[in-house]
Amino acid sequence: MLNIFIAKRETLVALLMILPTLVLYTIFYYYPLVLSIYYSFTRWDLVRSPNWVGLENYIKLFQDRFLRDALVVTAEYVVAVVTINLVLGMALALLLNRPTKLAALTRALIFLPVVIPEAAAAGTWIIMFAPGPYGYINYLLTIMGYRWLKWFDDPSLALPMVIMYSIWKNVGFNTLVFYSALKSIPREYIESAQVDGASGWDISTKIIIPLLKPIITFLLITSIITAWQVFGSVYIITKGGPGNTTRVLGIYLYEVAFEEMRAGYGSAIAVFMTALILGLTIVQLRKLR
Amino acid sequence: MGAYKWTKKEIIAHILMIIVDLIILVPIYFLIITAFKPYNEIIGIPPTFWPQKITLENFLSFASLRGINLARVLINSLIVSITVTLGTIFFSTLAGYAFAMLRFKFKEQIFIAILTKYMIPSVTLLIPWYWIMRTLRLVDTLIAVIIPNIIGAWTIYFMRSYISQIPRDYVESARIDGANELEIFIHIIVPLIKPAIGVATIVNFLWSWNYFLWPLIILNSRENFTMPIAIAYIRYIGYGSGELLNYGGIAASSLLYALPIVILYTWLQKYFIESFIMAGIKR
Repeated sequence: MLNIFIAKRETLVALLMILPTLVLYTIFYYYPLVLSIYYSFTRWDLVRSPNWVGLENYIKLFQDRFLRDALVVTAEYVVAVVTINLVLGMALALLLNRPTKLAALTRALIFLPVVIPEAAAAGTWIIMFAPGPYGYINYLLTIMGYRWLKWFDDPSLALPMVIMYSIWKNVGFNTLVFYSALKSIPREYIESAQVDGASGWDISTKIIIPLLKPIITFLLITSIITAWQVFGSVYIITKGGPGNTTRVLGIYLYEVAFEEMRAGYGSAIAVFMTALILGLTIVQLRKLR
Repeated sequence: MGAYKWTKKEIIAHILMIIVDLIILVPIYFLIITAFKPYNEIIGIPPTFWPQKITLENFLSFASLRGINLARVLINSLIVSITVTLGTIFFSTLAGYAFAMLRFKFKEQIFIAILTKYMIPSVTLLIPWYWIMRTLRLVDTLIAVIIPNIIGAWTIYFMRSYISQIPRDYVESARIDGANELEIFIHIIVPLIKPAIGVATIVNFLWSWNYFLWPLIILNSRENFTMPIAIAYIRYIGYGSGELLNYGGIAASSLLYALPIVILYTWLQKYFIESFIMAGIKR
C-alpha cells in the first residue's frame, strides 16, 4: 500500500517538475514544427491568412535559381571553413602542446575570439578591413607598395574574407578540443615511438591522428551542421553581398520570409534545410555509435 | 620546466606562437583604438595607430550611433540574457531531476521527444514563432525574445546526466527521514549540482548574449534593440547610398558588447573553456 502511495506521489511530483518544460515545448517547439510544415504548402505574406497551394512551393524549390546559387555559396563556405578549421586546429593543438608560458598564454588567447560575441567580432573585421585608403590593413598594403583593396565590397574577395573571418573566430575551439584530447594520450605511446626512432611527423600522423579519430569525426559533423546554418556573421559583414556572392542559405531564407514576406515559400526552404541537417545528424549518430 | 630544451625547432615553434597571438590581438586592438577616435581621425589618411585625440563621442553621440542609446540597448541585452539563463536553468534543473531520479510512465519517450529539439535547426521554428508573437501582440517586445528561448534541450540533457551521478541513497534516506520532494530537491540536490549550474550559466548566458536572427526578426524599434541588432543597424543605416560606414559607432557598440564577456573570460578562463567544450557548442 505504502509503495503504491509513494509511486503515485513520485509520478505527481515528476509531472509537476516537467510540466513547465512540456508546456513551453508544446507551444514553442512541437506546435511550430507542425505549423512550419503546414505553411510550406501555402502562400502567405505573414499578415493575412495563408492560402493552401499544395506542392507549389516545393516545385518552385527545384526551379529557384537563387536557391541554387545560395546552396553553392553555402557549400563552398562549409567545405572551406570546416576543412581549414579542422586541419589548422589540429596543427595549432600540436604547436601549443608545449610546457612553456608562451604556449599557455597562446592557448588562452586563441579561445578569446571564440567567446567574443559574433556581432562584435564581425564588427572588428569590418573596421580592420575598411574598404577605403583610411582602412588599417589597406594602409599597411599601400606602405608596402600594393594597391588598396575593397575587401568585403569586392565580389571576388567577399566570400574568402567571410571564410577567413570564420577561421579567426572559431579555430580556437577545435584547437582546444584537440589539445585536451592530446593531453589524454598516454605519454608512453609517444615515448616508446620516440625510442624506436620515429620522427615528429610520423608520431603525429601514425599515432596521434588515428587515436583522435573519434574526436575528428565528431568535430567534422558538428561543424558541418553549424556552418550550414551560418547567419549572424555573414549578415553583419556583408548581408549576403556584394551581389549574391555571400548569400548563404540562412540569408536567403531570411530575405524570402521576412523581407519579401513570402513566408509560405520561406517555410518550404526551412523544411528543406531541416531535412538536410537532419540527414547529417543521423549520419553523425550512426558514426558515433 | 627549467630543463626545457631550446632547440632550433622549439624556437621556430615559439615564433609561430607569437605570430598567432598577433593575428588574434591586432584586430581587437584596431577595434579599441577606433572606438575612441573622433570621426575625422577615423576617416583620415593615413590612419593613426594610436588615437591623436581620445574621445567618447562614439559611445554617446546620437549621430555616430544613428539614434541608438547604447546604455538602453546594453540593458536590454542584459535583461534578455539574465532572464533566459535563469529561466532555462530553473526549468531544466527541475526537469533534469525528474528524468534522473524519479520513476514515471513514458519517461524515456518524453526525454527523447525533448532531445529532438537539439537536432532541428532553429530557423524552422522562427516563422511560426513570428505568427505566435503577432497573435499574442508581443511583436517588438523583449518578452518575445525571451520566452521561446527558455526551452533548453542541451541544459535538460546536461542536468539529467549530472544528477544521475548522485547516489540514489542520498535521496532515498532523505525520504525515509520524512523530507518531501521539494525539500530534497532544494536541500540535497541543488547544493550537489552547483558546478553543473555554473557550467549551464556560462553556456546559456553566452548563447543568449549572441542571439541574433530571432531578435532581428521580432524587434523593430531602436529602443527595444539588443546589442547585436544595434550593431547591425548602425552598420547598415545609410549603407549603399555612397555614405561612409559609421566606423566609430560600430567600434563603440562592438566594444561595449564584447567587454562584459571578455572580462568574465579573463576572470573565469578555465570554466569558460570547459563549459564550451562540454556544450559541444553553438546552436
